[in-house]
Amino acid sequence: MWENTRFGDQPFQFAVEHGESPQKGMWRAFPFGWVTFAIALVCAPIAAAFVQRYLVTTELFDSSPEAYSIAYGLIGLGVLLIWGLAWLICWAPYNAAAMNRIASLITIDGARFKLKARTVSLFIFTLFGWLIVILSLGLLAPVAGFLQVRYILNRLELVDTPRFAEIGQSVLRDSDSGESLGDAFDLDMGVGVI
Amino acid sequence: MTAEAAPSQTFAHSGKFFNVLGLALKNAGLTIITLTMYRFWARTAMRRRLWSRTFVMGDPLEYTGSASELFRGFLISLPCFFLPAIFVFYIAPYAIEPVYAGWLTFGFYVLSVPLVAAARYWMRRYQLSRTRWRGIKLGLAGSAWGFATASWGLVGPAALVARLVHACSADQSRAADVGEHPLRGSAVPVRR
Repeated sequence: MWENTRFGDQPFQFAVEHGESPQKGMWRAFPFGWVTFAIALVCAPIAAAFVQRYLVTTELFDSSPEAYSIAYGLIGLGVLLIWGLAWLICWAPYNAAAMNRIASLITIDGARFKLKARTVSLFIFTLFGWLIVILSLGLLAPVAGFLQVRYILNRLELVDTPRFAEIGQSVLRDSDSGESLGDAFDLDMGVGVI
Repeated sequence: MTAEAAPSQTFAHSGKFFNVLGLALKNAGLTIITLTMYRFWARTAMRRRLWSRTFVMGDPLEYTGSASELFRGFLISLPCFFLPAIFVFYIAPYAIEPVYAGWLTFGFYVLSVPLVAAARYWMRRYQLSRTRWRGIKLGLAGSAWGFATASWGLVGPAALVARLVHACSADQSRAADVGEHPLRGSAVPVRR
């Protein structure tokens, strides 16, 4: 996608510097995310089983059997919530490292991009965005997208400066069919975050 | 070894949360009232707001897209995706044998994988082509289906098949030039 992107007649490049690994800076974050999320996947249902057993053993809701169904439903929702939070927390370091690494591999006319995404701040913005999307049932998804876009842009830099004066107008033919099938899947939260 | 040039704060976004929230609430309300038909105008307005607050080296981006173009794209996706999806999920289970309906659904999901990738490509191409900075347009070259194939992991097998075909045809062409049988070879090339 990046190597086909053009600014005017100048293409972007997606290239690794000689001698560097494409996964530089991600080697620790990936196994951390993998292992901790696997632990959370296993531990959450086990904890739910203990809570369920406690409710049955203490006969807490024996006077109202329907309350058991509600309690079990809430326990199930709790497991899903823990899985969702675990996904965000466990993969936050990897997401930040991956975004920084991908940005560093993109160049235009010799100028390289540099992103300073941080694990904690990225996690907070991502969590806030999820809450906005969930609580608004998706209607305010553009606000979540806006937060992501603003977060990235305010931490993005360009090392060296492209020769903008020498870049000509794009000669690519404009698409006259809008986003075509892209509209069917609504992939960008309405703000271009794909 | 040369020192890395000092990075400059090239990018900035001056958008305010409550400003965007207000526009999003208005868009959401009108989208609900119009049964989602307003979403093309909503999307255009939001992008114009966000693009105009994005600064690169002090100059803002410009979004030149329009709601009518998005609507035209929706009309294209209607017979290509929405109508087949409605048939597969809501009509086929009642109109045809359940087994065939099940296979139809499975095939639809399989075909959706490259479609989603192609959709991402078309979406990104449109947005880039309608983005300008200092009057210069961005753009996305290449092919949506090439991207879809690559994202579906078919590049490997497809490239292997292409190489085999090319190798066979190249061998035959070389063999024809030197009088060799492509499989048996020859110790003495034949000059023409």
